[in-house]
Amino acid sequence: MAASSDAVGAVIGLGLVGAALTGAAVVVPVVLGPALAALGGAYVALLLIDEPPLDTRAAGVAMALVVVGELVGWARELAGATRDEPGNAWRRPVWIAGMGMGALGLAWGVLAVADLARLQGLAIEAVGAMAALAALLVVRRGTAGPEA
Amino acid sequence: MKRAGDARLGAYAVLAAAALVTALALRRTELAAIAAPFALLVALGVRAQPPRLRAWFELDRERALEGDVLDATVTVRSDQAVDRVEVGLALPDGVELAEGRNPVALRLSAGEERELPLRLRCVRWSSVEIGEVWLRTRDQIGLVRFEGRIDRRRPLKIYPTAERLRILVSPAHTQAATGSEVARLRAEGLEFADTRPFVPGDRVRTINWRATARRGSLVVNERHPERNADVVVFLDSFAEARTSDEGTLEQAVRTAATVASRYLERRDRVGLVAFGGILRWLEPGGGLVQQYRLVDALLETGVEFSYAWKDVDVIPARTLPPRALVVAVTPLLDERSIGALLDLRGRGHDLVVLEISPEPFLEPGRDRSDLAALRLWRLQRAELRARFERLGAAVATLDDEITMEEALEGVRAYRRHARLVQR
Repeated sequence: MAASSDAVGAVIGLGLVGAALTGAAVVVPVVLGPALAALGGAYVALLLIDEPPLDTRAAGVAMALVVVGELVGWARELAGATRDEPGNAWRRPVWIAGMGMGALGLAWGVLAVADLARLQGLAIEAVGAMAALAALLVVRRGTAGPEA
Repeated sequence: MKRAGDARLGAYAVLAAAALVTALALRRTELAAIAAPFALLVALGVRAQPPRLRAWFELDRERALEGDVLDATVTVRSDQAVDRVEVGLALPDGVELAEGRNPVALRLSAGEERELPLRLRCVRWSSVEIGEVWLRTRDQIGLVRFEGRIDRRRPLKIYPTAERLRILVSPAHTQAATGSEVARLRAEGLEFADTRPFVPGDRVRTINWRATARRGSLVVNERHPERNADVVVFLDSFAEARTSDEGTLEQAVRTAATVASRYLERRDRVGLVAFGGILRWLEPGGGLVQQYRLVDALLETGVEFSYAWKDVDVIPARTLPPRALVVAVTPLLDERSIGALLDLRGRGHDLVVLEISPEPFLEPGRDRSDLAALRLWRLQRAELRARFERLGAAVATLDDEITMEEALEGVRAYRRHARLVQR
């Protein structure tokens, strides 16, 4: 019981530190990394308390962290002297929402693959082969020079 | 274009790496799922290529007066679609934005060319170069910035506005050419001087018939001719007192430009000696061309720090004609320029000192010792002025409370008085 309350304290503590660092990151951008790490750390502590077989909340956490990072970037842009042309101001929040949804989908996909792996059998072999192929394609594209 | 990673790029990379390591250490797939979007964003950001951007700058004219508003256009073109490009025109000192957006963030589609109209106000006289356009854009993800400067600079000369002056200081001596100054000598002219008995050779039209009728013998009128004068504007640029946006040099240049243009309007020949860390001079001349030369030389004037001791010997002799009126515009702060002025007066030059008061630019302390120091400094300056006046050189102090015309009226009054004493 005491260990559990300590873990809850760690979750709350890391969450508060993360929130404070996120606020500071608007002014001092270099602390954005530690801020996101602290927020992620709070989730890790929560994960260690609950110890679920596969926690689907991770996709939501990934989305939240991406949105937090992008919001900090947007806040720093707004604090600058440059103003957007009239009519363009709405594009950034839409972009951030889209990135959040993309992160949610990607993390969800990774979790789905991991869940599939727990089933074992031929399906996971096929997914593994596809993942290896995809990794090779990514490496090949990454090493290719820019198009003329 | 210079490439720089946004703070988020590093943060995302750190987070992705930390999440993956923790996932391995704790054997939790959820952390790998969290790392995945960040790793993907970092991979896309690292591969980002800068877009091809071009920019041009146009200005409606290259010469302006203080207070004028200029029309400028910055044109930006991109070969690829750019989600957000920040465009800014670097404004030099003395120019500020009157209308328009600078800097501004634009969205450009592929091949699009956009014109940004700007109106620029010339705040302060200067000779500057304007047209440095800086561009900042980012990749599609927004994690990598590309910055660049495009140099489209062109010269812009902002001339000081001349103050209205109805009166000027009359020089003690005039030259041979025709001008607007009533000379002391007697010859053909408009201003009546005196009468004298007729002598053979006098023109009939000069006979004063009323005086002739009274005296019973022929009497002719004598007149003062209108001649021009040589005027040398002596601008002291050794030292200045200034706040962040205004200083004695700005006022001195404005005063010098006003004096020079007003004397040139009277068909006088005007020269310039900018006496400072760098010596600049212009031999006396007249006309519109000389006015432009003078103003261009004034615009180049700045306070250049120098330890070198300089006196009037360094000034070319032809720049200071013997019977010229020397109008010194100075804050009376540097010993070298004060010494040079005293030397000029000692050599017999007709000297007028227009003192640009440094007091409005001072922020004296509130301690008793500070106030005592200020009083001492003021006494020293008053003694310096009295020294010039004892030598016959009028000193007029220009500050916020006194106009140039009022100051010059004081000089004229002093010079009338000084002339009486000399007699």
